[in-house]
Amino acid sequence: MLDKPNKMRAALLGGLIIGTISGVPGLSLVNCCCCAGILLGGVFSVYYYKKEFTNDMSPMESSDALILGIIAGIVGAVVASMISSIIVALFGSVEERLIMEYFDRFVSKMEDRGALPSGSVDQLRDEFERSLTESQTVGGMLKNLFFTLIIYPIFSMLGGLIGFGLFGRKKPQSAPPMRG
Amino acid sequence: MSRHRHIEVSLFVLVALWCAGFILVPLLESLRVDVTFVRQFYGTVCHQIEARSHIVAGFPMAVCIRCSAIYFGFFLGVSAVVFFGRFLMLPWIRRGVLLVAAMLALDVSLDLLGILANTILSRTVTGGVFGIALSLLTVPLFIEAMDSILKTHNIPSEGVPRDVG
Repeated sequence: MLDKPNKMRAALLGGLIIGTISGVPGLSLVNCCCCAGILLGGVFSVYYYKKEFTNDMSPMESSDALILGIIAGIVGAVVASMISSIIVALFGSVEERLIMEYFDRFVSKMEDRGALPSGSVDQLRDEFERSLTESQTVGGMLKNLFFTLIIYPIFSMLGGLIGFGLFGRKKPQSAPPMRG
Repeated sequence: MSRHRHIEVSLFVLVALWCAGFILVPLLESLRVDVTFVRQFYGTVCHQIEARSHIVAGFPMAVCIRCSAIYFGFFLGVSAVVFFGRFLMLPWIRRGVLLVAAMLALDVSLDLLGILANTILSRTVTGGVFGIALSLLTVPLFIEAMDSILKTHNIPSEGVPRDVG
């Protein structure tokens, strides 16, 4: 039997998904839904890895999914930090104003629909402003990186195991018999 | 204690610590202990809107109602797997996870779209059931994966590494 495919490509792709979703302002709101973006990255890395298997290889195991998820999470944390830093460096306070405008419009709509309790808007705005300000300091970026290097691999690993549970554990199809 | 058991117990303790963390934050804040760092840590995984969080000792938990229900549900599932064992690797759990994930997504999206507001009960129930289903799917796989990795690194069942060759 051939060796299993290398995990790095699948893990990098999963990490890119995690990093993009988590690092891009606005898109990162997806993570408010139980870290859906991070889980998705883990699921995707397993899905892509599974696609690389052929019938001649030994089947994928749960340990592969676990390791894939952890690597994707680490890559995702680094990519998210890089994207955030680049956006801050390129757009600085312009980016902050744009984001605050977008944020104010979004939460006002949610409050009008009753999706947000009254009084939450101020709390959310304060939290958002604080996180934006912190993300523009080196200390804030390092602190975020520290948190995400712990959280992202855990949730991405969970996503990897979910992916394995959903579509990973299948026996490879046996090759059709030779016709003489 | 076998390697398998070690993994189960370690997982149980880690998940218990995670759940204890977001309950302890408001308790410590009520005792005027500065736990901002811990609250910000949990802020990585939750919006922490005060009006949507349980209140403990006059302060909001470090995660919202839905997140706390998911984590407590996950902890219940871990406890069930650890204490009642492998028979919980049920064949229908895959479809179950997708179904409850859809219910949770529906509960969130109907509220965001202003069609049907969710309630504390709906958030707790959908979150809790999702957490339980997720644990029943992933915990046996996690234990199997860790067991395989530790076996590959020649860590025997007694948990003491032995020399190879």
